[in-house]
Amino acid sequence: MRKLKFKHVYIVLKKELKDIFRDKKTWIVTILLPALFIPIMMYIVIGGAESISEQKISETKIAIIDEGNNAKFINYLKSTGISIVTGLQNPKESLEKGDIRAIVVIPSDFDKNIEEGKNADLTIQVDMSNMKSSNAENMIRGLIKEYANNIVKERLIAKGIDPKILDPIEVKTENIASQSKMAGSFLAFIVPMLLTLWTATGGMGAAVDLAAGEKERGTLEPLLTTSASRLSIMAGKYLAVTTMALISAIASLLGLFASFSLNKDMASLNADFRLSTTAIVVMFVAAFFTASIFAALELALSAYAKSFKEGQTYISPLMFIAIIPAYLVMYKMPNEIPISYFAIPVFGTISIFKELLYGIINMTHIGIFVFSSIVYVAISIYIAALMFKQEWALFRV
Amino acid sequence: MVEVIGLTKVFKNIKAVDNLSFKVEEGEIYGLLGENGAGKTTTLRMLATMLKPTSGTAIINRKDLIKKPEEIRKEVGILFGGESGLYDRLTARENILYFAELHDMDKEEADKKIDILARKFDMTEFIDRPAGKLSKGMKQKVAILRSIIHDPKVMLFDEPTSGLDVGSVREVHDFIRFCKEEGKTIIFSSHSMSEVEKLCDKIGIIHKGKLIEEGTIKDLKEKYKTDNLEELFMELVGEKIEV
Repeated sequence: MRKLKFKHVYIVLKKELKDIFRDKKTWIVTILLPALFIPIMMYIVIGGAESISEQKISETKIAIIDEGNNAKFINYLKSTGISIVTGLQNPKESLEKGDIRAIVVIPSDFDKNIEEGKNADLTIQVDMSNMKSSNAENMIRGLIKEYANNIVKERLIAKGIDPKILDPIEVKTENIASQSKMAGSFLAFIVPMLLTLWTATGGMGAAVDLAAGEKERGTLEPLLTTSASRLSIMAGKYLAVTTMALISAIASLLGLFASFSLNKDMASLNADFRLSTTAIVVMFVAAFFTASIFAALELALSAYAKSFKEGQTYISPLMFIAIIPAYLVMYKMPNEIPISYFAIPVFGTISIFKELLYGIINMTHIGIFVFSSIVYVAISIYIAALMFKQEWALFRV
Repeated sequence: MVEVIGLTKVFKNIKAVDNLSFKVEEGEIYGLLGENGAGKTTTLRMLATMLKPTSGTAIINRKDLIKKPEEIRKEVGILFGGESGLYDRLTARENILYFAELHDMDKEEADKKIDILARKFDMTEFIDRPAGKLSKGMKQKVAILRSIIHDPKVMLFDEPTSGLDVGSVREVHDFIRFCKEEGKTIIFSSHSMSEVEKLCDKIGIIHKGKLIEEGTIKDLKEKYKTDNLEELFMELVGEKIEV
């Protein structure tokens, strides 16, 4: 193989980036999609959770079937703010239809029994197949429990006993984690996976287009007749793919930070959370190495593929290589990550991201990661260069 | 001048080109005539240094193909048939400029040359339009300009007219004649007898990677006592098939 000429590498890189950025699809897939992915996902997750578990008491509609005249208990329920629907012909049917969330059936002598210091029964009718109805049941149970606690207190006081006797052990939970650490733990859960995923997939479109796409369009053959060596052509293309992968990763990071500052629920989490400059630099270095490894492998597979379509087929499984380690590291705390992970491609990247987001900068881990990554980058570039040298791969028909 | 010496290319167990030798003088058009799969494209790809010969070599303008492939690339221009292979999102000028820069030409010098050639080949109207928006004929012109932007002394044409309409075929033929007038050494591969008869000074008939006959069209017609090149070709290739 002939020598690498930086001038040729630069010409190829410049042309490829110009060509890529003139394609609207690239803007959408490489920048817009990663940037919007996290905000949209958070909106869906937070919005969805709110609509189910955090339903407001005033928006919870229930019906009451009073078999006697239990005004005291009914007044209590009204005072909680829960929405009581009256005048229903068939409350059960309304519950089935989902018009109301639950029915509270109060037996005739409920208030009387309570007043006389006896036990009383209550029935809550719900539709367990409906999430919102089953949540309403929990809510009503909570209200009744509060009502019952007050009755107990009143009864104990009447007998001259301190109600605290019922809670011999009082448990207090103190959270020693700072707001920053808590924010970090949430970020450390989700960000490493998303970042790695985008650095792995961000260059895929470009990689398929730059080798398999060139073959299909018939532009590769004339290109190989120019004075630029195959190594220079490959290097220029490789740098273009790496650039695209990094742009994707950065767009995804910006999307994450944007969603933190735009969403009020996330903003409170973000308020105290700051990444140090060193952490940002190390993060970028980690993303760069990961993008470099994937770019070279993607380009090698693309050079082997006969057509654009075949290129896509070969390259897409690489996504699993990014997802599986991300998933395995996702549930591990930084102190649980084995040191060997830092020397394994992808595992290392995710582990480094995780540590950084927890505010840990461990130079030994970073050193192991950087050193092993240099080796992997070199191996993957060698594979890509080898593929560009192979006549059987480049001229496969 | 091009001298092909015992050029051989083996793919796995198949000999695509088998001990091929011929010589083309400066300003001469040499037609490589053969059926599909005869080894024409492989021969031209080897001469353009895209493929490495298994054995044999070629001397192109006193430079050895095996020893100095980098220098050979500056001497050789190649035009492929079929899809012209342009970058659709780049303009015609950017397409040509990319290749000029990869041939180590100065950007400004290349740009000026593109203007001159665009006027000569009647391309000024679309030279700054995206290649993807051009007609097939226009694209072929861009590919032509791209192949000669670095002023090669040797031009290789690999079935350059396949898939083109009559008008575009004529333009390619005119371009080949223009190259001849410029004193370039030309090797032209085709499976069209009439095209070869119209353009070439000398022809080599290639079958299963081997050169089975060579000479000027006049000499060959006299030797085989026929006026019809197609008949002659079928006779030669047919004989080989029977063997």
